Amino acid sequence: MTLAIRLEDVSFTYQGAATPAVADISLAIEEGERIGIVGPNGSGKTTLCHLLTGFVPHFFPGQLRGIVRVGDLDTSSVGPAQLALSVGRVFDDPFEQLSGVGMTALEEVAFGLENLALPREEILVRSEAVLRAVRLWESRERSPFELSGGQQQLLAIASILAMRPHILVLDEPTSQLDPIGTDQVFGALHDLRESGITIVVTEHKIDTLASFADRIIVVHDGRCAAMGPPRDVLSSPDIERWQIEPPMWSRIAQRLRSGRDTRVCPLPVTRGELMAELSHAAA
Amino acid sequence: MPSLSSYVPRESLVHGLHPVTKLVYVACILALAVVYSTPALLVVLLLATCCVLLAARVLRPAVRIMSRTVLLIALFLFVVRGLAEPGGNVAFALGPLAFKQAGLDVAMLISLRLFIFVAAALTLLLTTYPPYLMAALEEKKLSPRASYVVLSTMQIIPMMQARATAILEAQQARGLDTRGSLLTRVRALFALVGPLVLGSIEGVEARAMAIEARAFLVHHRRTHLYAVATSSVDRVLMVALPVLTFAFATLRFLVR
Repeated sequence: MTLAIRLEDVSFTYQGAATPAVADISLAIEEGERIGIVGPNGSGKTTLCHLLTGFVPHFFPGQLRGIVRVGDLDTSSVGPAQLALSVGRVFDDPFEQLSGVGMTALEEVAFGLENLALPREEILVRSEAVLRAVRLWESRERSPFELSGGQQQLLAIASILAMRPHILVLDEPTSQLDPIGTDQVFGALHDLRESGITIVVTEHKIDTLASFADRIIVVHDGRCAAMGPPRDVLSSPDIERWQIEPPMWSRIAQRLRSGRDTRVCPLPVTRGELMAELSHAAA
Repeated sequence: MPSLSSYVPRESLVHGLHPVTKLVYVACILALAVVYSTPALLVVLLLATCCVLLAARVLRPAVRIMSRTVLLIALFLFVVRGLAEPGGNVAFALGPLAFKQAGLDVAMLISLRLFIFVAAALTLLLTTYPPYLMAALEEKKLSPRASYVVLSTMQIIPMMQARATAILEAQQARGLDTRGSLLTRVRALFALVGPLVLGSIEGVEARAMAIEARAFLVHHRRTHLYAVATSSVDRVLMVALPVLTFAFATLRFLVR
């Protein structure tokens, strides 16, 4: 497999800060992987997203050590706009990430494609395709500001997907959304599985992330505390030390097991895993 | 949530004009307003701009906007200039307050010019679909950075309104009273202004990141979803308006 992202001993300290926001992080992400990043507030998740999309160190100055490679590009020498050609970034606030010049949902999607200097016909074809993919085609003539929070976030994702990045980085994309909006956003991300796009998403909603990600990375105090398949990481006995709430399915299974050693058999972290365990127990 | 634009969609000749033609019109009106220095000529110019707004079928929204903004500034000007003028004839007095004729004359000139400036600018803002303006400006070789600044500046008021509405609703949900006496309303204003200004400053950084993430300025040229056509009427007006402006300005100096 080809590597999509590679970080080697990366540390970054924001200008004026006394301690590094992230420290000694090394990781390799393969093309097409779906990575979930978890950790408490202030642990360094957003800084990690900034590193992958070039906002650190180009937009937020500071001291960067180590190497961040995204595809063939070294992010320390390529700015965010140039990186945007291969790495899409979705922010946590649906309102603030609108371009401010798109009067309709269609124009909002078209803004990025206009920046790529694509022909008008290509802009229309791509815009229609992504708006249909996120089920916003019927709302294409509506103002982005008239859409619900979930729809605005879907529009932001569509605007990035239209630019056909190889990697999609989403920083807490559902933090301001209700359960319906969250389902809409992750439904759209699930639909991308076939496209082979690499997805990195930071999220506090552990249950949603556990069933979405191929691997989970735990960031704690700016360091990579754990990395692996969701079931291995999220059923770890260290989860409380990392200040992460265990998935609901793990907590249910913990009660049902009533004291059995979780190190022998990891706790289920998704609904499917719990149901499988219950079926097995019943048989 | 209000719309992001001041644009008023209507079927009119002015709406159909190329945005750059309208920019030329605004520049010509501004030039004449600066050159003309008598109230009579400025009133004629103001009436002319109102006729254009009427032809564009946007006179009513324009008057509404001007009555909320320029009218208040004009009233303030009359009071301040009328009272602050050091000497000269007293035009009228309200108790101990003596309004000087010279101060009122200056206030009249400034106010008329202000009304003309705003009326001309509203002709552009209310009749031009913002993305058309952006496309037209870049078609005329204006840099994408500059056209983005123009367009986003045009959206400042609607966006601030949207932000202010959200802040007010949040403050009201926490028990802030925005109705009642003048004092209560002033208190509510303080609760609004702080978050509005700070939020807007934060918003600038967020927007800069958002457009960087959309590869803004990665190429020197941008393409556009819309193609803005230049009609024969546009070509005639782009020449005729500056020529007429020059003629009227020259006439003004000749007939002193």
